[in-house]
Amino acid sequence: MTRAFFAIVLRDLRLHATSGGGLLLAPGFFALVATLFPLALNPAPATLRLIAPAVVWIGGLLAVLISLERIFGEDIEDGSLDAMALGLLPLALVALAKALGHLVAFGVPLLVTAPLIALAYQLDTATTGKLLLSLLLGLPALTLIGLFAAALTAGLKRAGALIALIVVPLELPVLIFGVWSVAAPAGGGQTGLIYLALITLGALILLPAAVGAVLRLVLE
Amino acid sequence: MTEDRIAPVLKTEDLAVSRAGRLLLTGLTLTLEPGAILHVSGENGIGKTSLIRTLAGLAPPAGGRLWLSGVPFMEDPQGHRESCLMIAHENALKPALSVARNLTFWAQVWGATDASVAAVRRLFGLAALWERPVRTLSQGQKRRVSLARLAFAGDRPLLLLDEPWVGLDEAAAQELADCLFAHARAGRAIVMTSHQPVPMAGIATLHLKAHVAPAQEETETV
Repeated sequence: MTRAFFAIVLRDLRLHATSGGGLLLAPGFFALVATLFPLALNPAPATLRLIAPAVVWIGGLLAVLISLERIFGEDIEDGSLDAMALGLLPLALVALAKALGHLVAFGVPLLVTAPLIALAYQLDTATTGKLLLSLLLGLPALTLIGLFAAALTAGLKRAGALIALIVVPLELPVLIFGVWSVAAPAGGGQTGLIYLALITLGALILLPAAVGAVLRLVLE
Repeated sequence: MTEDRIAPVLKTEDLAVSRAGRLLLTGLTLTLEPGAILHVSGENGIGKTSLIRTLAGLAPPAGGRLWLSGVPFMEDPQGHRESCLMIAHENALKPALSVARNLTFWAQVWGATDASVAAVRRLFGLAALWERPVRTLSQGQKRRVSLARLAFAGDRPLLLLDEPWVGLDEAAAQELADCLFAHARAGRAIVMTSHQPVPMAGIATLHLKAHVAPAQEETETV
């Protein structure tokens, strides 16, 4: 079963790496969003530092979002999901493997890009560290919630906008605690990180089974 | 008569099959002993693919009962699915990846041994295509790659094939026929659909006919 699990993770990573834009798509999009704010606001450095956590988190959320539309669509169209459902793994673990592949393909490049954006926004090292920690704790929850929405809309054509409508409200708590854990006054940040960790833990416990159940219905 | 010495691989009783809430087939009663090969024919849209997916346990029966190796489907749906190897009409191959990577992936997901991956290379002339990305293959070559996954059957007792002959040239069709006969001799039961005559002598054919009146059709989607 472990072999089957990592076979799915690795295959999805390879497919992400070879698809249009590859692994640079998400960080490129992320950097683009982060560049737009200073250009549009023309702010003072102090303002930049103030908005930086929010900009990075919104950019991260959008970057996770743009890649989700096709996460199940191709596997359904080419018969892969049917064939995986006849394999050793329950669909909940297939979903978890796909989430992990997605997280590594899109989350890791985001984590590498985030310090560069922090540097451009003149954040100090301690704040950058907190920002990275908050992303590390929050990105798995963002991915799993997004996966759930992608499963719900899996049979539909052009589901991208619908996914965004479902995902963004569900991901608001992650966004709020993510920004709060970086920008809160002394002491508040840790509480934010704890909430982020709890949301990710809850998502990890509940969502793979939920995604598996939704996929089972999609297959029927 | 040697009945009941081994449970039949597949048994259905009054099985009904639906697709997206629409009832397609009813009253299907079948028994497939180890080594049996059944060709399911019938016009387009009659429900051949839906029957295969129902037998595989991907879609629940719309009615009636289904057993695999003596175990009722509802008792262990996951075990039922793990006991079937299905080669669907769609090839389930990723165009960006090589033949080798695609086949290794399915071997791992279906729990086949490394030896069977080595064996699959010798099937359907795949050695020559082994490192080529699937997107560079013709339709017939893709079908051969997809069918080569039959080598991953392991100890699964039931093989289900949906339109396996489409796109195959004469040599590949002959190799598929030989391969299926070999699986049957190994004690597996095989159900395959085809809307055209099948180049295998002496196998049973089930011809599906539309017999569900429109008034009886379920329109509600569950």
